[in-house]
Amino acid sequence: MTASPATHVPPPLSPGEMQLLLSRAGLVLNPGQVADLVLAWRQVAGLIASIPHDRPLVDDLAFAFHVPPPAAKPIAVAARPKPKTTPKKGAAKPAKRKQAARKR
Amino acid sequence: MKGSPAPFLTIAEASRLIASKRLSPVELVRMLLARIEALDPQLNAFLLVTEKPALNAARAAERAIMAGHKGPLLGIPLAYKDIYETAGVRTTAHSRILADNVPKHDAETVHRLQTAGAVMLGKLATHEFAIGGPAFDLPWPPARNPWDIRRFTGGSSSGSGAAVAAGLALGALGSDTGGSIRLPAAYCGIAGFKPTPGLVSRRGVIPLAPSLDTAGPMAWTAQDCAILLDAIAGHDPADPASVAVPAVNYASAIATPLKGLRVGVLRRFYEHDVPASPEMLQVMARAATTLKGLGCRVEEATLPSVQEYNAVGRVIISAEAYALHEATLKTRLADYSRAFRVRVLAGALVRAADYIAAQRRRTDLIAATAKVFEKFDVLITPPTAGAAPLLNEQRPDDGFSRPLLTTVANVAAVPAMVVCGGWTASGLPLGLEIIGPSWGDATVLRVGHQFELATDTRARRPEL
Repeated sequence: MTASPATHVPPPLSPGEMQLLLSRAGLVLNPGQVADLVLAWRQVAGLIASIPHDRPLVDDLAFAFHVPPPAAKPIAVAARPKPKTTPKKGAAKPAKRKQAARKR
Repeated sequence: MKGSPAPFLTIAEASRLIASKRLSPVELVRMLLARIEALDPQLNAFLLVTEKPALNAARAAERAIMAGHKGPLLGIPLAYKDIYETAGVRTTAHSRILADNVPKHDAETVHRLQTAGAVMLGKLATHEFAIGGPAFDLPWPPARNPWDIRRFTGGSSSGSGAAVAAGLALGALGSDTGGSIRLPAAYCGIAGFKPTPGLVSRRGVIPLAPSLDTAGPMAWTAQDCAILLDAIAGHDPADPASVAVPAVNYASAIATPLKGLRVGVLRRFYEHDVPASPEMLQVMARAATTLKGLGCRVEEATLPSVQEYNAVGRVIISAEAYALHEATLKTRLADYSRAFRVRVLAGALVRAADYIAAQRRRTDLIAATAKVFEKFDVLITPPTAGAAPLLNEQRPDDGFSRPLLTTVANVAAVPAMVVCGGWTASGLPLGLEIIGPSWGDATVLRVGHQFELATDTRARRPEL
């Protein structure tokens, strides 16, 4: 189940190929930034090459999202015990910053 | 209220003293503000100190205590990594891009802590957007390690690690996408806990790579992490990854002895995949002995290689981080640090097919990891190969070129924590990582706590 990583690392991108990819991404880099990217990409390309890409089509189940059925009720959650407070009558409440509107 | 606070207190100790009115939250906060003023210029842990609001909150907590209120975090001073949104308080992600960003709302976790009565001391240094650092080309310098200020704190929750280790805050919040809570915990000699994804809300935490991001506590002890987790864990419908699971009282759960627990030692990780230093090997040997002494059954365990987990994690982080920052990178490229650009720009070249291959491979690795937990309750490994390296030895491409032992737990979607496992001959901390199965958060914290009780690693503090 745990396939060995592939060992093939793609050859480095030529300056022309790099420029093409950058222009497709809409990025304008200076020569120093391109040099940094070339070095970083070499590392990332090696990582990508180590991940198996040749999986059987039925393995698509391995890349799936769970969507709850429409009738599903939310799981009941036990009430989280609040900090033990034993307020005296008329006592001030614990420190609490202004949190009136917490709608997001 | 009476009594001057000791320079170093755990959350549990301070909570007991405050509850019994032997310690004033106001005096505690004053003492910490004075420590921050005296020590932070050499540590750079804080990006912002919220002195007045902290004192106001401490006074409110004191009034509440005097009125009879109680709570484990009432009056406890904390600080937050500067990717946690704080209402009305600047939140920069340690980046020029958000230098003037003042959120309208608190992150859900911050809200829960404030509601529990915690006092915010300020906002803490991070690597830029939790990935680009340590960097010297940003408006704020990188945090430094309290055990030796020439050394790296680990990242990206760098200020959280430094502040807690130096006794500038009793606890902190960090975030962990590939090890960002556990690496600074290891290098700074504190406890850091990365929860099961979905246990702690990430709403209001500036994301790095949403399919791997987790938010969690950092503190001097595992017990303090459990106390903080009790406050911040719980379902949040506004975080799509949040899961509704029954509440657990972590601070109570950690008291159960470890007798009979099955502990797997990931020996191949640190003898082959990421070879550990001789001193770290000794820490691992002593940890195994300690756990056996506590009644655990300790055997060797095997997972896929650290490199396999890292390849998946790094490709996902590159692609997702680039996607989140693409628009800004196109317009404000020069405003990011060089370290951020090196670590994120390569994501522009990751193809969709490569990203999906990484996600599919992640599913395999999650299953392979879960299988191992059929035989073991927890796994142990070093979080790093050795002690904190020098800060000026850090390279912008480190995230790619050196596999991280910590990334395993992120990719596998399991909880993990680092506690202090021991020391080098020169007095630098060495971490021990404890990994549990999904939703085994309480067990991980319990092992960390019982290990700390059985060793003397919590007796030493940095001399500053």
